Amino acid sequence: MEMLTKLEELILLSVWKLKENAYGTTIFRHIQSVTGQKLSLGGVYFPLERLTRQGYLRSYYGPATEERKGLSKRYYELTETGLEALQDAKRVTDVMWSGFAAGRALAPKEGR
Amino acid sequence: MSRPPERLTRLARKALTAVLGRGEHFAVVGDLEELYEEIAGEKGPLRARAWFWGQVVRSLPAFLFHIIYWSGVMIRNYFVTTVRNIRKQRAFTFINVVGLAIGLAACLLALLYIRDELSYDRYNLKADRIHRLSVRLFRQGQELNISGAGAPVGPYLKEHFPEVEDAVRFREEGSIRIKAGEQSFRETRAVFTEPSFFNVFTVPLLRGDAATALASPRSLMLSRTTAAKYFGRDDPLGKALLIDSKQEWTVTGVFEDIPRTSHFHFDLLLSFVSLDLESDPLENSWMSFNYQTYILFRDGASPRPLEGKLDALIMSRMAPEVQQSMGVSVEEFLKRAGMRIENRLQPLLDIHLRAGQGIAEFEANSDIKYIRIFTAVSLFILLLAVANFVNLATARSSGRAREVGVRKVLGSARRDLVGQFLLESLVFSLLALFLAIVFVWLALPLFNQLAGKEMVISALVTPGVAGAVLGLVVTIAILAGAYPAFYISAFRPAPVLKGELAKGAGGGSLRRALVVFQFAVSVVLIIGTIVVFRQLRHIQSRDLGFNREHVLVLDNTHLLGPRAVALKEEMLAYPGVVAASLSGFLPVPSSRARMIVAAEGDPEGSTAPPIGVWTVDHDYIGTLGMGLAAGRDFARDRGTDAAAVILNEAAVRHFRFDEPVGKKVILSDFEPDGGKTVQSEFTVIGVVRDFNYDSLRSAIEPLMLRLGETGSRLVLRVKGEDVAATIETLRHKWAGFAPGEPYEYGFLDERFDRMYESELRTGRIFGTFAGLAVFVGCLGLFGLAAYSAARRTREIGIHKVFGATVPDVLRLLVHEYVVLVAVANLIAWPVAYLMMSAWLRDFSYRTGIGWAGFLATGAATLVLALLTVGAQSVKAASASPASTLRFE
Repeated sequence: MEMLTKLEELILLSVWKLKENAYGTTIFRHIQSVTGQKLSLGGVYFPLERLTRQGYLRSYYGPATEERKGLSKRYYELTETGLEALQDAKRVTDVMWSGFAAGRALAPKEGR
Repeated sequence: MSRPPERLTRLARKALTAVLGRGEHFAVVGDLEELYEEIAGEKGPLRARAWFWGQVVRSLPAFLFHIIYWSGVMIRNYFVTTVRNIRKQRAFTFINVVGLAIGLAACLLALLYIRDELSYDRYNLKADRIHRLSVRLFRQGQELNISGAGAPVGPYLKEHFPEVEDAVRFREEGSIRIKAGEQSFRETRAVFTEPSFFNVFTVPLLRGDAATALASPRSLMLSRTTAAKYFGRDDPLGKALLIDSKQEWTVTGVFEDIPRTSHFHFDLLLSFVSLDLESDPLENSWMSFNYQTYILFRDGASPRPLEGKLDALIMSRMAPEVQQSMGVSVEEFLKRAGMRIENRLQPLLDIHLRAGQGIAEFEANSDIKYIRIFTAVSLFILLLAVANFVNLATARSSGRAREVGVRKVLGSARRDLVGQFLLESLVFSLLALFLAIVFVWLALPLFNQLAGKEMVISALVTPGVAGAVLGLVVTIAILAGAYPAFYISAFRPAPVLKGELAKGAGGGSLRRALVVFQFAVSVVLIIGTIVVFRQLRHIQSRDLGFNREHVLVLDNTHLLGPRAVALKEEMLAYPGVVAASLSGFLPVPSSRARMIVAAEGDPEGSTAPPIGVWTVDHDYIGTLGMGLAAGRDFARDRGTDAAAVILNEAAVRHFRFDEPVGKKVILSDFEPDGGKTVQSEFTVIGVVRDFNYDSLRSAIEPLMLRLGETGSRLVLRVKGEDVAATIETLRHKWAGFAPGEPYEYGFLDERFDRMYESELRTGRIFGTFAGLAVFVGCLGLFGLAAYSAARRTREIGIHKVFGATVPDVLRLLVHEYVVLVAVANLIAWPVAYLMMSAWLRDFSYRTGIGWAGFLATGAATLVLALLTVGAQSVKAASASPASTLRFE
């Protein structure tokens, strides 16, 4: 199983969350609002490109609109592989996180 | 929501499209704009703009990686296509690359040559601060350059002008004989100079002390090679040398050989104090120009103020001297002689290329003219090669139209195609460069001979030159690739694929223009070569007024003193010798003194311009085969002939004599101990027909022959057969008369030919390059013809089916090129005419321009073009129509 990076994970999740409205700007904005971090656009486009090439995502062009002066949007959606990768990631994460209580950043004590 | 400022967006769009291109990333541009507008709405356009550019900068590394990765893939594809093309069309690749390589090789050679010429005297660390004093003498519209100054000038300037750091003077010594132990040598590159030589010029000292080595009389320094020649491995310091068999000098130092790229080369430096100028007022005079004087200026000092003061300074210093010796004021003297004198400072770095051939020049200088000729010619050849390249590429465009169509259909953008063609062009150019370097390496020894140099190819391996060469190659690649790249890539796929354009062979008019251009340049070069050689032949075969064939000249006979006459008599007794004469003067250029000679009764006689006076013996005119125009030759049985002279016709005109024989002339000479002028009277007994004794560039000048016995050369007219035995006999006799002295001889016609070395060199360079140009032109024509024949295979087949004979088809194929070459000739002739007339104007004795040469060139180029085209066409024309038509 290939491991996704954190950013890739976030991108795939954003695409899944945003459903039909997943394109560059919305993905970028979504990640930025959830993490509260300043991102570079390139930091989003290149993983997008890579994920598409690896088969986790597929992209299609939306219709040209007046709003974007004739430049159509490039939408992304998850492929089967992408979905599986996310599920794998979720399973790993869940296993790793199990037993960790939020707010108590201490290792579990012995004999409890 | 505020719209983003239009300008930024458009700029951004443009930039992004340029970077991303390919159309597939336009969505990104839209995304960016959307975000931009949002931020502009929330935080104002300024913040938005900052954000935008921040994004750009932060994304840059990733973008760059992306671009390089993908263009890498593209370039690999270009390469594959290029290699396939090369394989598929070996002959055309060969023609293209070889043609270009020849052009580049010519350019590289020119580059080597120019670098070498420009490097003269730069070995001197203080080169830019060194200036030479020179004098320009204007006299009746003529200009005379003298690279010398009076002896006192240098020290005076050093003493009185604070900007002058140092000065050094030279006095040439002609040829001297050196006796080292038992061996005797003749040295022609000896010069008197001062210790400051080593401060002004950067010549490393190997032995001895720079400050004292040349400080005392009769001390001398040797170059490394000369020291080795005299003393082998022994230490030369302190050794004694005998100069001219009378004076003993001491070796006080050894200096490194002066680099080849110097305008002087000395083997011996003699101490200046040995000249003892103080006791010789005639030499130590402001009026003489015998001392080459170099001034070293202080760092940062401008030479201009000093130069401005020179004229007045030297005039004021000359005044008392003129007054004393001539009895008139200096202004009056100059006015009467119609003379004007200008004193100049000549930058050291200008001497080699711009000083020209003045008087008192150490060695023959080069001329910036040769650099220009050379550059122009090699650039022309390069142009021809580039023209070939473009020609062939456009010709091939029809063949590649289909490829372009298919590529376009499969989604190639135009820029991909442009890239493909440019890369192909670049690969060809680099191949050509590689080949050119091989050519240069092979041709360099020959070229060195041609140009009279010793250049090495490693001189090209410097960052500057390598950069320039690569830049040139890339430029050529772009220039040569541009037309096919942009022309072919613009083909619209649909008609091309339907076959509508395949026959069109676009770029026909450009191709025709280029062929005309190529042949025009070749024709100009060929005609140039013909005229140069015609002129040379004209010079060499001209009636010179004397017979220069079979004249053997033996040098150094003055060493024998009065016994020289005995040697002459003995040689005359030898059957191989027809006539003999003793005289130091030969009818070839050399530096000779002129003297003031006036016709008797001429009131302005004392200020008349000096003329040549040669001392000869009774047999001179006979031995050299000169003719008398009037009067008689010197005769032994007339004792009065000691006071007789023979003039040449130019001198008769000079003195305005109607009946020259019997007229009297007065010769003014200085007494040996200086100061006083002595006048002696001579009677004209004869007139010798004008004979050329200087370069044929200049007209024959007035000359007077008088009797004397100080012959430094023995001139022998020998029989044509078995000259070797005569030379051997002479050697034998010489050894008997002057044991241990060098036996030096030569033939007059060889010495004569040496005057025209620079013309011969120009001629050979022209010839070689003209040949190259024609070759490159034919190479291109060959390629074109092959293509047009191949393209018209079907047409030819049909012609033949309908009964055309082979000659008919040939006519069809060849016709076009004949017209082009004819047009090229018509264009080239006037250009060549103007160029060569300008060149010929330099000569006093010049040949006509010779229309036969023009016609011959025209005919030759036509024949060459026919042969080149014909070879291809015959093949195409004689092919059986059945085999050519079957494939259609």
